[in-house]
Amino acid sequence: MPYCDLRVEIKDKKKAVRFAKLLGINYIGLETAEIGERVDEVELVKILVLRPRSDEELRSMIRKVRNKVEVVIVESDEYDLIRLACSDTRVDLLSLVYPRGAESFDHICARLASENNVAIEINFSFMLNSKNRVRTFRALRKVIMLCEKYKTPMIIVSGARDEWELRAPRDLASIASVLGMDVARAIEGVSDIPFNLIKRNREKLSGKRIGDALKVVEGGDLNEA
Amino acid sequence: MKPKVLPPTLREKDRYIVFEVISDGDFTLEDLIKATRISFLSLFGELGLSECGIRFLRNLYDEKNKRGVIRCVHNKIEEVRTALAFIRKVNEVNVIVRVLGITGTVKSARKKFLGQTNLIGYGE
Repeated sequence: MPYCDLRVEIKDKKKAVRFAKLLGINYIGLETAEIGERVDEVELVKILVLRPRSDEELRSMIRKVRNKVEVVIVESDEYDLIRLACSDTRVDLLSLVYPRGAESFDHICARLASENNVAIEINFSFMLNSKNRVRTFRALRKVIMLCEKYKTPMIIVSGARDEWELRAPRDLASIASVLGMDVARAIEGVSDIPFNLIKRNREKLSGKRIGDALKVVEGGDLNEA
Repeated sequence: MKPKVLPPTLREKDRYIVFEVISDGDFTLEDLIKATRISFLSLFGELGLSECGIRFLRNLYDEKNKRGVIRCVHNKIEEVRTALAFIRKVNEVNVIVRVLGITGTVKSARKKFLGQTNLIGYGE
């Protein structure tokens, strides 16, 4: 299974690709990427980070961008917006701004996210640059505990702002496992879960899939079925 | 009288973590050891550091390729990987410490990750 880092905020695309290749990352999510772009054996995924200020703004933003990008990420630290994002199936990834956002995340949000297949982002860059790491780790432990209980998908990302903040995906999984996540699930969080998300969204964008349940199969014979 | 060596069943089981450092400058192994220690202490404290039993195998450090081996207790691998991931700078040089793999013996660490395929005279 290929390794993915769904959120990289490096402005220089070439540098991001070079370091991703060095660290063994197969898919990287960049805001500056084109849909389905591939550079030097590294697949680029077009992501968009939404930072809404109200419910209405969140809804209108998602409506506008859903069919234009491969992964929609909502970033917030307000409880109402977090809860709304958890209940919207069009949101792919929910980024909780540490530590306030993570502290706002509760069992209701975890259950809603699990039901609507919204993944929760575990961001390494937020941990690395946190002014109060103790509070951040404490909030993160709670988020991981809730997501484990309600089987909410979790995706671990580097969130790197420069190339020196990138890390190998297996090392990111180790960090999550130290914070209370099961090791196997942490490895899924950097491989299977983001890969399936990208695959599903690419199929939707190319018209091969309608919604989550229907897949368009070409060349099939109805009489055989 | 010397204390007896513990039998294998009573010894702690070790693992060898082979790592590679990606950097934009030069540094010594001593600097790297210091940075690892600081990172580990700030994350897990003195008790955590003592439980992990970390030791750098100095003779296996390849200064040219910046590859080396760390020995630790078998059930603390994830903690060591985490501490290595949190290292940002070694002696004012930007670094990324990447784990290449984990082995159960020094011999297989040499063979698999350090490119020492010919082990004639190994252990003499």
